[in-house]
Amino acid sequence: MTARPASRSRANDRKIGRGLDIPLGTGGPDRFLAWLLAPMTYLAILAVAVALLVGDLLAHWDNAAAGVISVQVPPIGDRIATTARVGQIMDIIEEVDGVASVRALPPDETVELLEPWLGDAAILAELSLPVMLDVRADGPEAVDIAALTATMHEIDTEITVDDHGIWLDQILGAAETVGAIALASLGLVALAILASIVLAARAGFAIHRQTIEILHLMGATDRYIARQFQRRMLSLTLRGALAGLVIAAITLVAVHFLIGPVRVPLTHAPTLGPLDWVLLCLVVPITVGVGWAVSRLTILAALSRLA
Amino acid sequence: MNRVEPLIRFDHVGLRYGSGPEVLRDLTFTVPAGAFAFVTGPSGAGKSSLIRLMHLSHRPSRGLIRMFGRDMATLAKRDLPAIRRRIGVVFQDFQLLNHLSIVDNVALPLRLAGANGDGVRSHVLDLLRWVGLGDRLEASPATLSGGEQQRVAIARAVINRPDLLLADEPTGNVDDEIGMRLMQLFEELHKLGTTVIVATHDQNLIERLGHSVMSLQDGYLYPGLAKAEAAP
Repeated sequence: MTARPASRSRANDRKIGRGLDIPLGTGGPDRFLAWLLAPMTYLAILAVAVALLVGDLLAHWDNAAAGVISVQVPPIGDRIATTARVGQIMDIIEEVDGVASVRALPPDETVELLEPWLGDAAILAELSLPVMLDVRADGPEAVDIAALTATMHEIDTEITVDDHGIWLDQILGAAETVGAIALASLGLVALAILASIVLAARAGFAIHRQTIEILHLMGATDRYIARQFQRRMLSLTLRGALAGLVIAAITLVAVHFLIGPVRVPLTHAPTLGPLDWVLLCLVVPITVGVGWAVSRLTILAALSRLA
Repeated sequence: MNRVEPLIRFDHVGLRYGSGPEVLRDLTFTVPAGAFAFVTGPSGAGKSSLIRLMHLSHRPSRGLIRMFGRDMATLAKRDLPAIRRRIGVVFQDFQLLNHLSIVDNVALPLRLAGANGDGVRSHVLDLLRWVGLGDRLEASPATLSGGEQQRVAIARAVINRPDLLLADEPTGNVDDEIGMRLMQLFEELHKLGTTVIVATHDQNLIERLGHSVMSLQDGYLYPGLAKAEAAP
């Protein structure tokens, strides 16, 4: 029995045409695409995360502030007189149209609120502090604030009525600006990703033009050639986008643990829920899908210019 | 009476590259299906340009070309690949893909036609053994001699039994024995119904095989010689 030559044996055993007919990835610039896409996807995911966090913050502030009115009653005389006056004012407020409930904050709760701004709770407890009334309306604009303020001023012009409108508008405006900037950044990153894929596909086409022309002359269809580029782009964009996702996830978790313990009074700490994480992960298939489709269109357009 | 349409019809065809002079001028001829013809002429006569027009890599500057019953001027671009798959071409510079093995190069036309599987593999291996490359199956074409590359190019051109086989100087780089063996392969395909057109300046080859001859000179085609006239 004679042994077969090694090369013949290998050729007999292996399947014909396993690889790409166009040697994409050998010496072409497209191998840098994954390295480019990783930071771009990272930035895209961070931009989406910022937009989601701002959205969460806005929704929370909207809900929290909707229909919440604070009435500040300055103390008069001794504590008994002040308490009697507060009771009288609460009765008046309860009768106002649109008011759902009125609650006087206990002194310790008022001290707790002021402590971050004014310091030592023990000293604050000794001070004659105004009484805060927490008024809840039936809805965001259920109470006529101007009329309520006028009614309070008939009792004492020092009483203040605050529906948090001014500062809330400013904060909401600032938050919306941050959200818009995040979305604009996302758009710019998306454009950069598109441009990178188009350039990589065009460069690959230019480098392998001779091979493509040979395949064309042998009867390869445009779709057959485009599929070779799509397979390569699928691999590159998947690697780049997954790397970007992993780095972004590490960043977001790190930020959560670093900033999470910092509690700012009267504010809501925004968080990313499970659905938000699903949305962030969707950046990967979207990037891969865009890469697949854009490389196909780019190559088909280039092929249409061949004879 | 039904007239059988020729496989190839050139009607006052001219070809120029860019804004240069015409390299093919006013060519009018027909090639019937199943013919075997040589295109001959001195270097620069336009043999390779004529082959390029016939394998549809170039469009004529003027005139009409009909192939396989289709007008090439009005052929939609999407229909070109199917026509090209019916044509096997042996390029003068071989045009092998150096990143693929010899086996994959030869199998390429079959894969482009959608064939795959064990049948393809055994068919390719048989043909490569027949052209004397059975021990170089996994080699890159870049590592082969000119003659070996030419044999790979010929194997690739004939692997899917094309309706039309075009060969540009197919025996230019091989010795007489291999050359005759390759021409024997062409003859076998011809007997099976393939139309074969071979561009060559090898008068011995033309005389030995004794087929029709289209003679080019300065871009003009001179009347084809009859088989008897071409024979010694």
